[in-house]
Order: sequence, then structure tokens, then C-alpha cells
Amino acid sequence: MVIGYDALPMNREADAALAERLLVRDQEALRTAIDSYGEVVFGMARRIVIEPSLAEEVAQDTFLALWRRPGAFDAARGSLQAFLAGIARNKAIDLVRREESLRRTKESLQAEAEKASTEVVLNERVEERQEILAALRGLSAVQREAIVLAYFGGRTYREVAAELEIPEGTAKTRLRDGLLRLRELLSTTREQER
Amino acid sequence: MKRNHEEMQELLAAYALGAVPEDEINEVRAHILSCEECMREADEFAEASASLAVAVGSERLPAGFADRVLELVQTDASAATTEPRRRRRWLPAYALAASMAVVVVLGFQVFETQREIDRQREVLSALLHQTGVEMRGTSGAVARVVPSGSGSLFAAAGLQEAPQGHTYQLWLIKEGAAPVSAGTFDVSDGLAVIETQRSIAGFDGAAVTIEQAGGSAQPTTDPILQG
Repeated sequence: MVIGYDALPMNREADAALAERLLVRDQEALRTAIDSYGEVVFGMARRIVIEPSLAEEVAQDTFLALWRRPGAFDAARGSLQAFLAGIARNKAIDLVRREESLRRTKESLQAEAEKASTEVVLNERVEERQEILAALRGLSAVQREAIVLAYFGGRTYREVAAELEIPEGTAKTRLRDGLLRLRELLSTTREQER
Repeated sequence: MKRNHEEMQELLAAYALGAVPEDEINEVRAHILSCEECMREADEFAEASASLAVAVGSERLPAGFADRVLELVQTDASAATTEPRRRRRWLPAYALAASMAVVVVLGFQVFETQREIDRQREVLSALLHQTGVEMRGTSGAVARVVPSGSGSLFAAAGLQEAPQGHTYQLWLIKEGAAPVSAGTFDVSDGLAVIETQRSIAGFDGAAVTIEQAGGSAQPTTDPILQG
């Protein structure tokens, strides 16, 4: 995976300003959003959908959604990067849920997760990413596996249970404990920053 | 069968991760809306889950990507209508609560038309309203009728679609008198909302029944929601 080049440092205020321009139908603002976050969005789509042309469609749909509903982005709740990557994730998951052959296997998802957690990227925009990767490293292996399967693999907790050959209750518990731990780790990092 | 609070609570993380199967999702949503503790927890889980989105690396875009998106935008019919600023139709406190609930309950859906957004907001604002009549059903569905202008607003979450050829009908009830119809409604995505000219003033309660399409003069079945 290609990472971290030509990144524009864009903070939350800049995100909010960009959203304001989108609200008044400024097409150049859409181009700026694509230039800034297109690679993150495409990275997410590729992570979930194997087929590159379908991943491109997911990325296109993501920016169309931003264009149609810029008001859905709320700078108070998170970065535009996270918002767009989240939309791309959902659109990609919808696609792989409709067509199972497009899904990534458990092995490929885990390999990507392992690789991602060892990447070290130095530039301003990816700080947010470093934070979540560090938090993911802080989970137990079984918690990480369950969360990766659910979030990036589009598996329901029942499918996580079936694929990992564990009881459904255990799958629910791993997702819950994993997400609780993730939340805890992220809030510690954020407090340290303050 | 309505499941208990603990069972629903166990599902909140899976819900925030988008990992609750279709057949359970309405029940979880309805529970979150009716349980303050779970609403708060689901909101926290949603935040943690949302941060996972930036864990993946970037990937170089195919050449001409931005130009193709901008071309699509030119021909995109739904972009032609200028979107109004977020409307604040409700009292500020409700507006805030409702916007949080939109994120929590509908977190993984992106509503792309203003009408859809307005409808979601109406449902959620009404459900979170502290006044009016609250109704509960056997399958975890919740609904509320609240005063709205000179009439009322009814909203429900967690209902199944009515059987073919049937509709839901809302009744206002006063002890010692026949129920008064406040209109019929349909359900989509487990949510329903109707505005009615009837005021709830002077009534003691409300109920929802399933009736033949078009509605009935008086209820013909047992209420599936009552309060």
C-alpha cells in the first residue's frame, strides 16, 4: 500500500471551512476535498473491495455523497478524513454484502491489519492514523481479529463467530471488550496531547 | 419476544461496528431510543468505531479521478437543488439530543436527500420528547405522540412493515368514549412518522392497531402499541 505523500496539512478548522464552501455548491471545494482525502478514501475502498474498478466506484460514490449532503459532516464530531473514510467503508461493505465473491478473506484482512500496524508514517495528516494504529496494537490478538473482521470485513457478529469457530456470545464479548479497550486507549492518547 | 436490557447492551459494540444482522437491527435501535444508558454507551462506541476509519493507508488514485467525479457532479440531478442549511425546527435541547441520536441510531447510513433527513429528525425528535404519550409494544417497538403546533406528531421506531393489504392506524383514547382515529401510516426501515391535525389535549392515551388498507372507523384488532 502506498502511503503518505504530498499530504496537505489540514486541520479541523480547514475541514469546517471546506464544508461551508460545499454547502454553497463550490465545485472547487469538492476538488480540494478529493485532492486532500481521495487517497484515503480509495485506500479504504481497496481495503474492503478486491476489484480496483469497483473500489473506484465506491470512491466516486463517496465524494458524490459529500457533494449531495455536505451538511451531514459535523466538524465537532470528527475529522473530514474520518467522515469520508467512514462513508467509503459503508459503501464498500454494502457492496461486498450484496456480492460475497467480492469479499476479502479472513487471511487477507488479517495480513493487511498486521502490515498496517507496523507502518510508520511521518507527516501531519496521518497523525490521526498513527493514533488509531497504536490503539489497535494495544488490543489483544483475538479482540483485534474480531474487530477487523467486523469493521473491515463487513462480517456480522454471527459471521465472526462462524468464521472463527467461537460461540456467538464470545464474538459479541470480543467486539465489546475490544471496542471498550480501543476507546480507553484513544482517550488516553488524546488526553496526553492536551 | 422482547429481550432484556442486558442482552441489548451486549450488542451495542457490534451495533456501532455495523455488525448487527438485519433481523436484529430494529430491535436494537428501538431499545437505544428508549434507554438513556444505552444511548450514551452506543454514542461512545460509535465514536471509537468511527476512528477505525482512518486506520487504513492511502492509495494512489487512478488517473483522472477528480475530473470524473466533477463531471458526474455536473450531470447529477440531485445536486441541482441547493441544500438548505440544517433546519432547527425543534427546541435547541431537543435538536441537540436528536442530532446525537441520528448519529447513534442511524450511524452507518448516509441519507442523501433532504426529505429523508427531515423525516429521521422528526422521528427522533418526537421519540426523545419528554411530553406527550409514550406507547410500547410487545416486540420492543416504541412510539410517542407529542403536541405539534395545533395538532400532534406521531413517531414510532422498531415496527415491522404492515402485512400486505393492511395499514397501521393511530387512535387517541379517552376513558368512557370510543377511540378517535388520528390517521393511518406505513413503516419504512422500521420508522414511521405522521403529522395529524388532531390535538392530544383531552385524551388519556393512544394506541396503534393493524387495519385493512384505508383504515377503519373503529379498531378491529388488538393494539400492537399502547400507552
